[in-house]
Amino acid sequence: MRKIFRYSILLISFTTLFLANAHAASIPAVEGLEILRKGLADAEDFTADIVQEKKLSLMKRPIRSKGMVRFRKPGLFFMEMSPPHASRMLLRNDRLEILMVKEGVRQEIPLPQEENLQRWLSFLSRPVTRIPEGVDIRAERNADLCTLTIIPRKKGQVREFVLAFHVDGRLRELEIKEHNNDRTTIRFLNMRKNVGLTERDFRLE
Amino acid sequence: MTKNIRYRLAGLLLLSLALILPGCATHKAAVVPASPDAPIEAFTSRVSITLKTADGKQNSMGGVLAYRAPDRFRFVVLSPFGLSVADIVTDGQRLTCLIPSRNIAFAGTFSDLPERHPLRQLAMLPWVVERPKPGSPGEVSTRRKSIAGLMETVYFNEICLPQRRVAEGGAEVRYDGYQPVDGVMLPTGIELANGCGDTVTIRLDEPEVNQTPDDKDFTLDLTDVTVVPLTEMRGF
Repeated sequence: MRKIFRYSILLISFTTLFLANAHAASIPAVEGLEILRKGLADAEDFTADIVQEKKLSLMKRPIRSKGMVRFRKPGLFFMEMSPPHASRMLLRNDRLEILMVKEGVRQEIPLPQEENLQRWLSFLSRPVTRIPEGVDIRAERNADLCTLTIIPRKKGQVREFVLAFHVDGRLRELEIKEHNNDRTTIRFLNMRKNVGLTERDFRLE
Repeated sequence: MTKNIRYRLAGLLLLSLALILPGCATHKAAVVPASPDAPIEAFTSRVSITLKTADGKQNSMGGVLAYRAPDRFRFVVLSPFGLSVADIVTDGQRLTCLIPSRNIAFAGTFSDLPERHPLRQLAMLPWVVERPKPGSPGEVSTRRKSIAGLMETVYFNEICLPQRRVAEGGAEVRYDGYQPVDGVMLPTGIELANGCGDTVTIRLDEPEVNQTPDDKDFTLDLTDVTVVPLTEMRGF
């Protein structure tokens, strides 16, 4: 009985120590942005599987979708969501096109300012020495995992973005929280950089 | 720990597993039998909606559609990133369309919209969700006055669920893909035509039925939002 008690104390101590060390530490926002930039600097392209979850106050269950994303410098972004709500999205510079696959309907839609990637891509193309205008940023690091919390100063649809990534540039998760308390989480899986993506990989049809 | 105690503990563990696992394997969620007569008081569902106009324009979008009897609807259009692109509430008479990214909302009655505006077809939603029944058992069609006050012919399928409705004036709605959901037979495919060549196709996915939404779920928060007349809405 004494042995069991001793082992339990040891186990609790180890767990506590582990958890304490696992706690993320705040780092300067510029440092966090620079870690992100360096991690992606050598990536001419990347591809990843994604799992998207949308929590709406209107529905009891979250809406889950699976898909994949592709990116190629300087500014090509492609996202494909799997059936039953299959869609393909192509962002080329400032033009966004969407194809609803099953319905065969293709359209251009206005992109909310918060979703404009160009702004961030050009910002991250040079060493980061300052925080971009119009946002507040908090950064945290826990071993090789970093988190950036980006809060737009101007009140709009999005309350904050939270981006988690590894220091080698592998994206882990993007969470988008809206002011109406709805929230979207995109988890990145099997991310691979420099796979040699071509124009053919960025077509809607 | 002695060998004896170890064997006893292992035996206890195996016995526990033997008791628990069959229970897990045979446990099934309670199945609520669905009745063709069960009314739809409310539903919320992920949807794909395609709007086509007679002049060939098409618009397709995904999102969430919520309904509460007798006439409250809310449609949230989602972007591929999951953000709300538009948030629409209507009672079949009035329509409010919030565009969160622009902090602007358009509000008014359906008659304020241009004649061929795609959103005009949402005015027919109360008629679409009405659930007419056969006048007598086994009747394949019936002529009746709809909730919209128009005479219509309703055609039923083999289990007396509405399959097609044709109203005076030419508006028509077809239902398919009936599935039992929480005790209610719900069509997962709806195609609506307004008689002028415009159509709306709605596909439901993972619906929740009769989990009655609150009043607040059909009220848009327009705090600090610029509200303008629906007449100023251009495109969708």
